[in-house]
Amino acid sequence: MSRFNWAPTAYKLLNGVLCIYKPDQTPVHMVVESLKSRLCKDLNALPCYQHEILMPSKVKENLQEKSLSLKVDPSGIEDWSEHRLVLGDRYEESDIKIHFVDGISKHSSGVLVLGLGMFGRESVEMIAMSKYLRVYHVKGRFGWATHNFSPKGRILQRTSFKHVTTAKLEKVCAAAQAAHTREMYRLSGVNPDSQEAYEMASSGIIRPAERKTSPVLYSIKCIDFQPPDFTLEIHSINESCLFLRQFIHQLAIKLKTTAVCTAIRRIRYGTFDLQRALVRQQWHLDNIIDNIESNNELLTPERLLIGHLAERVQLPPPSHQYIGHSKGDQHLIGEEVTDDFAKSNEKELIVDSKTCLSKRMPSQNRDPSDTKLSKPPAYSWWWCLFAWIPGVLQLMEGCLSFTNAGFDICICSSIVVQDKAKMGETFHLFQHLALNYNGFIAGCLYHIALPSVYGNYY
Amino acid sequence: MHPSLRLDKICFLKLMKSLSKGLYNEARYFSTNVTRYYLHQNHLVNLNNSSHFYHQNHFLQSCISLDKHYSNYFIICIGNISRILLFVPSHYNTNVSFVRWYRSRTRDMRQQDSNLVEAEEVDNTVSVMDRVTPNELSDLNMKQGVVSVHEKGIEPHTSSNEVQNVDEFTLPELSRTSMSLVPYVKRSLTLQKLVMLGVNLDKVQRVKEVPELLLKSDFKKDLLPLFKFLSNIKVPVKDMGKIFTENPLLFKENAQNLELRVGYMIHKKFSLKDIASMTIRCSIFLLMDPHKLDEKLGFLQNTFQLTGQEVRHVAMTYPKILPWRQELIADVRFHIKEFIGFSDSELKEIILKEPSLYMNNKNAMVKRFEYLHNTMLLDHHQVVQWPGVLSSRMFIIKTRHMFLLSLGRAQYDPCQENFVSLKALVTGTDQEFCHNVAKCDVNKFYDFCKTI
Repeated sequence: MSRFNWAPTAYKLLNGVLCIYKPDQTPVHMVVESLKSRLCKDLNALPCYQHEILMPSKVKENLQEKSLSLKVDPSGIEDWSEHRLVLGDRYEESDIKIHFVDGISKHSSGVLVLGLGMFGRESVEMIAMSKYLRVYHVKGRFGWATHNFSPKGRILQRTSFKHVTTAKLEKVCAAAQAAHTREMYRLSGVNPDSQEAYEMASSGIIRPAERKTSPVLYSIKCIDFQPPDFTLEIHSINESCLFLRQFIHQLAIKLKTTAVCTAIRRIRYGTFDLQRALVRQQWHLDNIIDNIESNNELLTPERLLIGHLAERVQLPPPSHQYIGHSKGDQHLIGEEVTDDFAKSNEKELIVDSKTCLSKRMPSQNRDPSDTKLSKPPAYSWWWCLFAWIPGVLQLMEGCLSFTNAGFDICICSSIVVQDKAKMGETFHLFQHLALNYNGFIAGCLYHIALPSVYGNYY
Repeated sequence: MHPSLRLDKICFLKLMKSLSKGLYNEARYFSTNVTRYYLHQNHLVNLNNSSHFYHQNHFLQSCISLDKHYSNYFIICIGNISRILLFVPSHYNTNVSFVRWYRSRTRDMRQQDSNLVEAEEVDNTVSVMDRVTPNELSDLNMKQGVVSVHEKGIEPHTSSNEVQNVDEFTLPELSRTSMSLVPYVKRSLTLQKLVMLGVNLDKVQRVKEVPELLLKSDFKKDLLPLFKFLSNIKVPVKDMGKIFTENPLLFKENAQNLELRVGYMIHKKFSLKDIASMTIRCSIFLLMDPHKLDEKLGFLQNTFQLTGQEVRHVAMTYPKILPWRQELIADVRFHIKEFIGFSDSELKEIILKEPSLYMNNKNAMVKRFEYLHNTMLLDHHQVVQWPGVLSSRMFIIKTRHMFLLSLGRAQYDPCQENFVSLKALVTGTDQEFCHNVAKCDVNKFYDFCKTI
């Protein structure tokens, strides 16, 4: 039973941003249709016309007649052409306007942000401009490759995956993330060696300047590995579901095997998280209005204008190929993939060998000009430690540090240094450590101004 | 397309351009041609019965309807074209929904948006229109050369003989074309009585020839016998409106014919109570020829090897199966027999328990059975216990089963404890399901749904 007793009141409240959980196996346009029809059904169940709310007040206490049947007094209705049975239901599906932002494909599920009505449409446009960070849980399965990267596609290749371990998977993830970090600077149009880059990185993540350019992955983490299944947590902007599926495919190729993407689940869209999302069973008028009201608190200017900072700068041309997403692969969709399959494999292997080479031969005090990056970024250091020393990073005080991947041989760690003066100090600390522990050598792979996605960033 | 009309289409595009730039004088220049084009294309929006009429009298300078390919809006301009009165979404291409839209919007928006919607002004023009004589109107029609929209509206009646048949209406009202019954309801007692009985005129008028019939008919003379007939077969008065709403062609039927058909049903040993409840749920069988009805009952009996009593039971539980096409029923039966593998006796059991299954989408049913059989590990016998599960929605079965699995309660074997029947699994709201079957809070279930 609805808490409203007059449909136009409820209809006016359907104006704002709605956050739902899109179920699996349903395309977004069907979700929108189903929302519309449910809203219309609920609205039309309420009193919609004047005669429907005026009638009860005209019913008086029955003193004369003994019969209990309540008869509607026809004289009470002045204008018959205003009756519901004449004009029909007041609300039709076309009365409700729903716009969505950054939809997800049919076979993926997760948080979806919709705008209802005029205000909703404007807000959704603002949200689109602000380029929120999206978090995905992407599931993959090793063993075979299909023409469209989904498990139901036509199988192209079967491979063994016995050699894949958690450590190897995490290594590839870390490499892809590093490559995307460089891409992040290119797309944001900011010089990675500048003070501006440092400030941007320290205040939050660095967003791409334009919407719908090439995707940027901010963090790739393996959160579950039960061969043949694995789950990655991916923070990204500008991605599409096809890109994520393709990414799984390319990740597997780097691991010398193949994989398909079994599920994509979006668990966060900027400030909209799972807590707010309404599942399909909750899509009713009252729930939706409550949700719209609670979402209003997220539509503050500082949240909505967050992506506008990057709008002003111009993009430099793409300078290099990077892992996980090369320029040539952008048009790979559906059938075309099969034609380019062999070619892309070759290309991948070349990229792969190069990165492996640079990974395996880090030198101390490496000259920045030798690396693929032409302009060396500053302020944060990526280290390669050739030993297995758990907990070594805890030794360092005053440095915020996190491990990107724990490897058998190689620990690729990064240390975030808050200002430039500490950079040399940290480097010496590592050298010192390397001398103390005989088994390992420290070397700087590259340093980069690096934002973290593990804060409250959206 | 006629060359001149193509020119008009270009004019239309220019009009849109000038409107968007705010060059209203230019827009006015283009608008005349555009109206002609759209009148010719039958895309005319018929604002309160005759837009061309408004046009001629300069009440409505131009009334342009744009089809969906060009714009989202009708633009209706009253008075000077610089005052755009209403923006009507283009899907309101019938007058009735326009009126409804207009009434609902003006009430809501009058205070908010007074410059966009000026309801009073429209009301005034309408009242002026009522005073125009039919001769003037027909003259105008001649001059205008308008293709009037006959197939959607009521045909104009000009001969005096026809006017006498219609009790309430005067010539000017009938000479106008209308796309709905709404303008007539205020005057017509017949229509008002139908509304009082609960007939949804909005739905009834969409059926071809029915609105004309209702306008011409007299309630006491033409329609009352039908209602009397329904009350004779013990249909309660409150359901009569529903019957006519769902099946407006019943208005065209003769009461004697209907009695004949009910006579056939009584001959087939249906009780009057059964017939009444069948009529309420599916009144279309009253329109069926007794020969065809006989054929259908015979088909059901032969295909499923039913006894006479069982055929009556099937028709009683789900009367909608009677007008359904035989071939489709046979096709579904063949499909689920071959692909799911039910035996003949199980198919018979299904039609006795859930006849609606034979009117369902066969492929979707096979899909659901695959899930029940391969994932939930149920056998054919368990499914036949409650065949309704094959027509329930896939996501309900899936989410609830997976939730029970996560709780360790997915136990579908009746011989063991904590048995969950298929009916309990699928029917009921989420609250009922969580309370009775899962024994936990609903929010826990919803949180689980967010992990799939």
